[in-house]
Amino acid sequence: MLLDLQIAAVLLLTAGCASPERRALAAARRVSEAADRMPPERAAVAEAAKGLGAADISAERLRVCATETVAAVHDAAASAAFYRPESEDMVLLEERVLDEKVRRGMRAPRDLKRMFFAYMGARMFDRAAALRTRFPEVEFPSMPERFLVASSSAPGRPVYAVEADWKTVERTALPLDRGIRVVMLLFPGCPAAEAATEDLLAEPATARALREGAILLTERFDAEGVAAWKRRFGLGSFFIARRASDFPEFNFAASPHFYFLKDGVVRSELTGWGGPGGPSVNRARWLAELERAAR
Amino acid sequence: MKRIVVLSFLVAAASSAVAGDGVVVIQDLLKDVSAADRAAFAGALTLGEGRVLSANFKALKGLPDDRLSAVKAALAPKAEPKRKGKKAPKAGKMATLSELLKGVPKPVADEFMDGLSFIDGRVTSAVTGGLKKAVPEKRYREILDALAAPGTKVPHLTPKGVCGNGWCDDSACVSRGSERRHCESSQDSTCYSTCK
Repeated sequence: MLLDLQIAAVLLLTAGCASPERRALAAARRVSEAADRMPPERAAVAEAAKGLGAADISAERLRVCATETVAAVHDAAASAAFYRPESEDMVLLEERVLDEKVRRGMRAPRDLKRMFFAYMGARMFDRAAALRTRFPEVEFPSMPERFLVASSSAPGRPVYAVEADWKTVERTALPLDRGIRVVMLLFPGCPAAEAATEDLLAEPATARALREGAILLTERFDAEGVAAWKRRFGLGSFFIARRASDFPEFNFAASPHFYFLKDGVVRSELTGWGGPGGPSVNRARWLAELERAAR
Repeated sequence: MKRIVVLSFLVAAASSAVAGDGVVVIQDLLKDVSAADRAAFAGALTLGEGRVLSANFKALKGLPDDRLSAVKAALAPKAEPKRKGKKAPKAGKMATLSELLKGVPKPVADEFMDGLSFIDGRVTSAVTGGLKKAVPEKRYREILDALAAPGTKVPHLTPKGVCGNGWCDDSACVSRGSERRHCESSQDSTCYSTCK
């Protein structure tokens, strides 16, 4: 009788997972297929992630799912969180699946680092700090120790300003609605953005425009990288966006990506830096776009 | 007539491997070659600090001459425009890809070689998801460092960082249409300093 009840319980649990598990696995595969395309298609990943979100994958359900499903859902959630960092639902799904992997002894150091990046991407700093504490043996990327909020309530888009020692960041506002502005989007440490910065600083006209009117902005929360960049190039106006969606007119996926604004409106843009022609051609194009924006 | 049709197809195959302004991915460049021959060819590529130094075309002996020439041209190094105040880098270590990936499980090594991208004979990005899972981090960094161009001074050099000595994780070298080359967010890929 007891055995029958146990079998019934197992069957109930398995049945409870079976159909949702199939749905979750299928949704996870669709996300991974979209994420594996080269070059990746963020919109396709985001679309596929809706199916993953709708699969209602709870921690309880995960406990009875097959190892293959757990691994697939984890990869998919991590990809979805990577391509849309502010999607908290995907970050929390990644967290649930990672917990299940830890419970089963399946987790790798790489999984923990991905989780860390996902937390930082969604600006879930407390969770990122807790992860570091929970797994002290893992060498995580650096993160600031102090998060301040600016006392003034100046108008502008919400960003983080990084102090010279990078251990302190401050939530502040970035005004973009007046005058001619160049906004350079980049990943801190990106070699293509590095070449662009070097080339622009090598000529007086572009160097002046870059130093006086440009704002550097990144979605990647790498405060140490931002501080190193500011130090190396002497460019103080380098901020971390609070969320990409605070800047709907910008595409944060490319580095470098220049936007030329007049009174807050994007007048033209320039993606990338490398290619035929070399630095002088790039500088001329950059100046031409700046002049076009100013007209 | 048939010959002309065949050649046209081959030219199309070669040109479709070139994305944007000259980015060549091994798997696309050699998509009409068997996976085994592709792995043999890529494994025998000798690279030094991010550049193709030599190639052994034995594994591609089944390809017609025109096609072979297209492959050679796609991987051939070209001169870089000079940047002010930059000296030419010194020649450094050289190794074949198979030597570099020694000890890496074959399916992972094959996937890594298939995903390597080149521009003018220089490594611009790599697909690194499998490699990351298969080898310890130290070895992973050794492999990627060996493919990086010399003389790069990327500001963020900490071993804990995302971007290191001439390469940047989670991004790939991309160029679509009239775009200039740039690094673009791409999970499990690495964008090299040659993408400039």
